[in-house]
This record gives sequence, structure tokens and C-alpha cells, in this order.
Amino acid sequence: MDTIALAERASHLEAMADSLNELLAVQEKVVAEQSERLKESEALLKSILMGSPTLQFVIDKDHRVISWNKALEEYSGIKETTILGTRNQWMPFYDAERPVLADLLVDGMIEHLPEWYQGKFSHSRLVEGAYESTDFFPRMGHSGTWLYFTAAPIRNANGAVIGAVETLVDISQRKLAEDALWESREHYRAIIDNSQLAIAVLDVNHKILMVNPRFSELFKKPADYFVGKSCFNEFERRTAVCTHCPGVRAMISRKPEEMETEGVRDDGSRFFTRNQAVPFFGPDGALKGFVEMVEDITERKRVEKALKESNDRFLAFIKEAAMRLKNPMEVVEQNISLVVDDIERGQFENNDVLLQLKIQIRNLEQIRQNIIELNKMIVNHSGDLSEASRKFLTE
Amino acid sequence: MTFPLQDIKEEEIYLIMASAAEIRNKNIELIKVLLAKEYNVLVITTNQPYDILKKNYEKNGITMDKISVVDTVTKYAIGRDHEPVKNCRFVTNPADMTGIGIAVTESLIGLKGKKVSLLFDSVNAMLIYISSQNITKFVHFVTNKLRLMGFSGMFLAVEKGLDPDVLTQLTTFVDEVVDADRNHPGNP
Repeated sequence: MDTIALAERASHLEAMADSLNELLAVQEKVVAEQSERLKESEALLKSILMGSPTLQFVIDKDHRVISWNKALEEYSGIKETTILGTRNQWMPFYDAERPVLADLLVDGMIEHLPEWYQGKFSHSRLVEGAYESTDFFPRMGHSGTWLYFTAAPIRNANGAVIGAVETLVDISQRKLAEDALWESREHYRAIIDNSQLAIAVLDVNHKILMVNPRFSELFKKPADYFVGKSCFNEFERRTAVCTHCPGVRAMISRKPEEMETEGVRDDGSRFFTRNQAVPFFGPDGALKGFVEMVEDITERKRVEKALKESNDRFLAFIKEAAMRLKNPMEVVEQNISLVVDDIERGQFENNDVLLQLKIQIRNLEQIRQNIIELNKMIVNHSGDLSEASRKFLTE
Repeated sequence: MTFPLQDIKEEEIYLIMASAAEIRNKNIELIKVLLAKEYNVLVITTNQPYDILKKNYEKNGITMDKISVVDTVTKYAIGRDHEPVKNCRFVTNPADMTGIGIAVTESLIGLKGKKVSLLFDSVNAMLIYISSQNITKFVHFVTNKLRLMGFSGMFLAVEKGLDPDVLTQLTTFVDEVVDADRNHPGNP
């Protein structure tokens, strides 16, 4: 090879080297830029994760903690610096080492979920492949904490699982409120279900929303039969709201109202009730309907009626007795006076006087019988007379 | 109401209220008025026996020609039958509503075609033996008979001796209620 040819090759090689260097410089620049962007992206991601008010941690495919946000630091008392790179993600929640929901997802051990979260887990409706659960953690907080937590797998571009993120929400307050509400509802349910008062809840249009067991017993129909029906039709066989409806008055006056009425069953049997209607309102104070409490007073009415009839009978008897004692005594008195007058005037015949007196004796005998009859009635009406008194009055 | 006994109308039925002391005099007064108006009078007596009643009438100048009697007390008082009397029917006792009913019906039938008035003396004396309910039924029965036969009637009663409810019921059977005591001179 001659000198010229060598020089040309050297020149080519130099040019190639320059080009290569140039390319390398460009590549380095691109890598540097990409690295910078990646760092920025990581920083942004970290910032997002760390700054999130939701308790959150992330583990990699080796179950090592790669993110432990500020909120979780605060909540668990475990610093990010002490937990990053460890497999201690269970620590704030459990007494002994065990997999958390994110661990099970990283390993794809969905079939083991029931083993650790029996009856407490479900698919997330919002995040594909994610699972959620609600549980009580006795170790957390002063008297334990209710957490609602969701774990979702993190996949690479090829779809392979490379980690999992778990977010946790403290729902203790909500749970307490729910429990209090449930307890309160249970109290009311226990009262309403066991009440001797028949209770119906109605809306402003007099549609029945619910009735208690006593109500269904009173009307001899199942409780769910009434729901959605109109009270006036079901209770009193009417086609429009009853004119005496205490519910209408209660909704107008916005205070309890009551009245007595007569109910009719499907078989036509009737019963008397005392109904008290109490209006109820929504959180905004708007009228929502009324609660009607129905007391079956049929027996009381029957007793009252029987008592009234008994008293009426007794009063009628007393009036009759008074009439049949006062009158006859006056008749006898007048008759004897006339006889005495005749005797005093010397204008009498023995036989006539005798006959008149015989009649008066008969009258007096009958009056005595009438008195005994009256006494018998009084004795029957008075329960607290001694046997001796009874005998004296009725014989 | 103020009502002169003389003003009684034919075929009308009256409830005549009087005081206990005056009731015997009202009986005589009414008989006189009725006889003066040419009535045949059927007296139902629940207090005075026939013999005494007859003597009282005669003592007051009233003849028994146009008077017939249903006597509810004599037989009961003497405990045996009275000797038969042409114009009187004796009933066993004042509580024998059926017997009284038959005697009244037969007596009224016997007077058919005549101008007749019935005098019942008195509602109060009958109360010794019969309940107010049965007396009311009896008065209803008699007033129906009188109306069907076109006869008039007078029921003597002591107002103060009757329960207002009973009095109200009795007034529904009669045409007028007359306060006989207010007919005295000087009484408004």
C-alpha cells in the first residue's frame, strides 16, 4: 500500500472516529437528558406519593418497601428511612410477621386471600386487578382503628408484576358513626318490634312505608303487605284520606295529635283504636311524613260499654225503685188518711174500713217485696258486702 | 198546661196530672164532666175497690147507670171472689196484666156503638205492682184499643211520682197532657 492510500485511510478513520465521537456525545447527552427526566419523574412521583394525605406504601417484587409516605409515617410512627428496603410493611398493623394485601398481589396469590382476609375482601370496582378490604386493627390508635385498604399490582411495560401499592383510609369515625347508627336503629327496632302498640310509618301522601309486627297482628296481614299501600284504604276501607285523620292534623300542627276511631279488617270484623300521629322531618327540616301509633282499645271499650250498660241498668233500676217506693208510699198514706178522716167524721162502715185497710196491707206487703228486690240489685252491684249484710238486705 | 176539664174533646186521649191529695177528687170531677157530656164511662180502678168507689160516687150524686168498672184490687185484698156485679169485672190482682187486658177489651166491646170514655185511676197506684215498663206497655195497649174503637180516655197520674223518662213515654201515647191542679180557681 502506498503512502497516499494510507493517508486517505487514516483520514477516513479519523473522520469515522470524529463521527463516532460526535454520536457518542449525542448519546451521552440523550442519556443524560433521559436520566435527568427520569430523576425528575421519580422525584415527582415520590413527591406525589409522599405528599398524599392518604396512607400509602409501595413494595417491589421482592416484597421490599420502596415507598412509605409521610401520612403513613405520621400514622404508624415508623419513619420511611427505617422501613425502606425492609419487608416490615406488616409491622404497624399486626403483632407478628404476615403478608399484607400488597404482598399477596405481588405474588399473585389471590387464592390465599380468604386465608388472611376471610369474608373481608372484595374486587375493587375502580381499579383493575386491585382488591380491597375493611378490617379492625386493635394495635393502632388508642382503642384500635378501622382501616379501609386497597392494594393494586404495579406492572411493567410487558405486563409483568414488579410491585404493588397499598393505600389505607382510616374509617374509624365513619365506622363508629355507622355502629352508633346501627345500635340506635337496633334499639328502635327492638322497641318497635316488641311494642304492644301497632306502629306504622307513613309518608306525606299517606303511603305506608313500614309497619311493626303488632300492626300486622292487629290487621291479621303480613307486615310487608302494607308497604306502599294507602292507610285510609287499608285501615278504614275508605277511598280518600279520613276526615278525622290525626296524621293530617299532626303534619299541619307539626306536633303529635291523637283521636279514637274504629278499624275494619278484611273479614269485616271491627275494632276500636286510639291513634296517635307524630310528624317526622328530614335533616333539612322538611316534613317527611308521620308515625302512627295505634292502641287497640277494643277490650277497654267493651269493658267501658259493659260498665256503662251496667250503670245504666242500675240507674234505671234505682229510678224505677224510687218510683215504685215513693209513689206507693204516698198512695198508701193518702188511702189511710182518707180512712182516718172517715173514722174521725164518724162516717164509716166497718166493712168498708176493713176492706180499705186490707188493701193497704196488701200494698205494704208488695212495697216490702219491692224493697227486697231493690236490695238484691244493690247487693249484686256492690261486691264488698258481708254475708250477714247480704242476708239482711235480701231476705 | 191550663186546661178546663170541661173542654175535653171527643175521641181524644188525655193524661191528667194531679197531686196525690187531689187525685181522688179529680176522679169524681172527671166522672161528672164525662157523664154531663153523656159519655158511658169505663173506670179501671187500681186503688179504690168497687164497693168504696161506688159509695164515693153515690155520695157525690153520681149514679152508676152509665159507669162500668174493671176492679183490680178487691179480689186481691179480700182473697176471694166478690159476689158478681152487673157493671163490674173483678180481676185477680193488680199485677195480672193479661186479666186486666181481657177485662178492658171485653168491657169496651160491650160498649161498642156508644159514646165511651175510659178513666184509668191511677198510673201511680199501679206502680206498686207493675214495673213502669209494663205500665207503659199497658197504657200503649189501652190507648191503641181506644183509638181503634173511636173512644176517648183519661189516665190519671201524680206527676211528681213519675220518672221524667216514663212521663215522656206516656205523653207520646196521649193527645194532651193536662195539669188538673192548675184548673182550680186562683191557679193560673
